[in-house]
Amino acid sequence: MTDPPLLLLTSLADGDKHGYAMMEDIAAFAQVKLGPGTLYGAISRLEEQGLIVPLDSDDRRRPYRLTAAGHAHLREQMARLQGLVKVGQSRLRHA
Amino acid sequence: MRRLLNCAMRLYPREWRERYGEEMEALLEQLEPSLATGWDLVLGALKMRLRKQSVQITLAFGLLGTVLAGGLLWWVPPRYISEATLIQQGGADQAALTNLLASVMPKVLSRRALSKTIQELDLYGEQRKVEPMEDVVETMRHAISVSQMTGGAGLIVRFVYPQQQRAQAVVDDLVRRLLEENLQSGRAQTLELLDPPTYPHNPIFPNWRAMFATGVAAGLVVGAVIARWRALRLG
Repeated sequence: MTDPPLLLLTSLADGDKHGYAMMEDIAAFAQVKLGPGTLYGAISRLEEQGLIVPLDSDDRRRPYRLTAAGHAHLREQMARLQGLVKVGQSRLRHA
Repeated sequence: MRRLLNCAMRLYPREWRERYGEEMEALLEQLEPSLATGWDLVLGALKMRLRKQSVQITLAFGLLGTVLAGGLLWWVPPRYISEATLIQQGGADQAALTNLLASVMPKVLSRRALSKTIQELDLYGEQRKVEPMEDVVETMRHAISVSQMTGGAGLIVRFVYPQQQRAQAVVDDLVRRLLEENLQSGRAQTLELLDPPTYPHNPIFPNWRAMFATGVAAGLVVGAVIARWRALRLG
């Protein structure tokens, strides 16, 4: 799974994070190193879609939070991926 | 290297930098500068610029639609219609008029009569170069319309052609021949010219307003769809 928006949503699923924290988290759980351009491209797109929101911060590093729509979208995508994994595993067993 | 990253940041659209620039700079300060990071920033800036170009893409396609409509207008020959009105002397009589038409129209629209008109007025020049006269005459027959007025009060003779003067001249010729055949038929009822052949100032086709409006609208719709598709694809 290397889709940056989905990686971001997954990262934010366990709590609010700013950009650098998201990059570190994604590198840890998915072994994917997102560049800053890719990361902020995904952030701006998800914000436009209302799946994440920026939080107020005194720091220049603004944290982001998953919205209710973001949670729903992530659940939907996870269910889809689970279905895909099941099919893949089943076919590999019978191959 | 860090200066190069700052230069790459300037490639982003201004409004995007105003919104995300500060936090992105904070992020870059925490990263080890590298070529890969610089390249990622350049690609990100390019994607953002393309996303922000949706309006320009839509407008460009709107303009393209207008140009295509203009080209089509220039390429498609216009069609003008001239018409004349004949009335029956002695009042309306539909049955008599129908009988008269059945008698005289085959002569008026005969191959011989129409061939003569085609040659005298030099009609369908391009078509005559490549097609036999029989086909050209058939084309002319389709462009001629002789219809009865309500209740048999008279006739309306029409002809459609790409040139105004020739459209009018053909209707004039048809009317003259109709009146001659009517006299020679020896029937009691006779036709009389009420309105002489009109000179068509405006073409009946194409309608340039409708074509331009369609071109602009179609271009804008296609442009909006493409811009949306690009935005989704580029993320």
